[in-house]
Amino acid sequence: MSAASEMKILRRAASHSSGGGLRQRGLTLLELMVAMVLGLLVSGGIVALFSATSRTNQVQTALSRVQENGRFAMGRMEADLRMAGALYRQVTTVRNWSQSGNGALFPRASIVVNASGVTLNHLATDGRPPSGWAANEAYPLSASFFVRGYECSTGTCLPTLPTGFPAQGTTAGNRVVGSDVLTVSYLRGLGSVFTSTGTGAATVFTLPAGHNFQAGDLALFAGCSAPILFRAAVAGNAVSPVSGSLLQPAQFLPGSANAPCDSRLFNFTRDFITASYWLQLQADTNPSADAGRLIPTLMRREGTDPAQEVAQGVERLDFLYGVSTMNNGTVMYLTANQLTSALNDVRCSLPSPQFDRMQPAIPTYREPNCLWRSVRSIEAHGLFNTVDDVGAMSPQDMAYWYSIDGGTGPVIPGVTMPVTGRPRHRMMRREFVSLVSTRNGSN
Amino acid sequence: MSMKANYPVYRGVQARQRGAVLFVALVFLILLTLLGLAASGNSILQERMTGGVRNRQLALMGSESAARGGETQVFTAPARANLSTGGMVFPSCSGGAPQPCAWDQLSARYSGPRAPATLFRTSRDWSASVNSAGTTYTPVLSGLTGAAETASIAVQPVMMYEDLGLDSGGFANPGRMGGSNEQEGGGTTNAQRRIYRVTARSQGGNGEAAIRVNEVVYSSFTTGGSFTSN
Repeated sequence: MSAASEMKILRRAASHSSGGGLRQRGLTLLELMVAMVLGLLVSGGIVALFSATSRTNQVQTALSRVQENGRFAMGRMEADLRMAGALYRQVTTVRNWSQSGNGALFPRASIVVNASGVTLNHLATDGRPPSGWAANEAYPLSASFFVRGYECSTGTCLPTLPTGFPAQGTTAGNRVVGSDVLTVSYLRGLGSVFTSTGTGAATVFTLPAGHNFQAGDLALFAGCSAPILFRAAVAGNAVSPVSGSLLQPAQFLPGSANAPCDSRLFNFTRDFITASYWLQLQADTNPSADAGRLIPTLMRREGTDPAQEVAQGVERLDFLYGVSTMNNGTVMYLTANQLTSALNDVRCSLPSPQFDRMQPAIPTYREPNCLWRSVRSIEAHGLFNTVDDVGAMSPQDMAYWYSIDGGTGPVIPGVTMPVTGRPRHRMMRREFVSLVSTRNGSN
Repeated sequence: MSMKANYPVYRGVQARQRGAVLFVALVFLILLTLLGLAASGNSILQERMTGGVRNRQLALMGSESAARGGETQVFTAPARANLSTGGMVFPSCSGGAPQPCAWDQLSARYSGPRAPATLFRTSRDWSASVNSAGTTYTPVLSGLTGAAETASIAVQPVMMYEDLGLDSGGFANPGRMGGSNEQEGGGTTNAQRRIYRVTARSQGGNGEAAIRVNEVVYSSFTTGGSFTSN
């Protein structure tokens, strides 16, 4: 193109734009229709693409929520279950050990309570001496209290649930119908190192500064022998038994300073955790939620503290217990009810020698519900949903399988969910299972 | 050149309209990209978190495995001990004995000779200075290939034994235990047992510093062994 023609073009363009008449010239009808059809096609495609992506996003967010809640809730429970029954340094108690009779694990020494007026109501026991125990003598606390489960059906819970748990029902604050309850206890932390002087009522433990003892706390002395529970009097860094509180001062022998066995002193009141899990219906606090909408929620409670939410959208909760019985150490998986009632206590292994005082009167003495101290593993099942409704779900999308209910594969739920009787909503569901080895069990 | 001649007539109008299509298309593209990114970002986050959980579980299994290995060592120790060499189950680490040895409690407990044992139990680090208080678990758990690669952990777990003194919980077990003489505080008819604490440390499947996890478990275990009348 020559320079001259270029100049011409520029000049013409300038004259057209300054004139303004040509800019108002419209499109022909044909042009407009073609443009509209094309535009509609393109935007239709875009809308379809957008809605598909948006729906995928919605489903994915819901699934992420299920995954995340499930992972967190099961992880939280696992941490507690794994510790169930832990007592820092558990003393084994061997007697007439034989591989076939007592299993490969030695029984462990029970805590000896050497304090008057101990109450441990959060432990499924009032902490009193076993029935038939001689008055004013130090008594053992069975390890069977450290794991206790309750199998709840639509009617009631077996064994009977202790007080302090919400009633089963269908309104806010109620326990979800048919969901199990589990309570585990364990000693956390590594306790305090100490030096000690004296024995019996004259014992004084000297702790490093910064301990957490307060007057009246229960203290647990974990030494070379069975751990001893006593009531602590605190003076600065010195901890000693409250005057007159020892049931048997002669049996309180913590040993000298720098005792072997890496002895420690624990604050039983504060470091002995009793964690309970159950499902509860919580009101949906989302302002945009339907009035009266309830969310089944996994709750955790420590001791008698207020319960806290762990994860929302947990519809079912079931526990199975792997129990070792006297039958050559065979481990059977049982529900809490089967474990408590269907099996005779005679199938428990021998109690720890701390119970020997019962032996002359009752040669085959087993403390009640003693199989709970032979729990070797706990299998937790939880059914998690998406918490909120997911838009555009076909019934097939709602199919799920909860292994506790049996069956061979995913099924589409009816209008109401089995066992809980709750509406199914438009949700996806997924079962989470966790098998935790509880290695701190006693025999 | 005839095209060129007609072109400028519409140029003023077309120059503005032509950009709009591109602009709208780009806006939609950005919207869809954002949606897609959000969705995949969510998935990637989930995958990473799940990976983290798996890493931690591998570490826990590694340490549990080593702890059980240590328990087996302790349990069978009396049978393996030999009276002709002093009948020791584990020599004392405080005397500078090579691993596997046991840190005893009777020396000053939290400083001096036992400081390495305390560090081993409490440190968050994975370093030679910490791990040297223990010994490497021998069954191979790291560097696995083929079908077993999925269960491979970054490095071999380490474990440490501590001597916690005699187990005074029970006295009624009959007989001597193998070739060990240090169990026999109760004599040949009421052999006493000694408690050892096994502490095991393990990393997860990935040992990179940013995502490394260390799991530490411990187990107090009493000596068992054969009840032979040696």
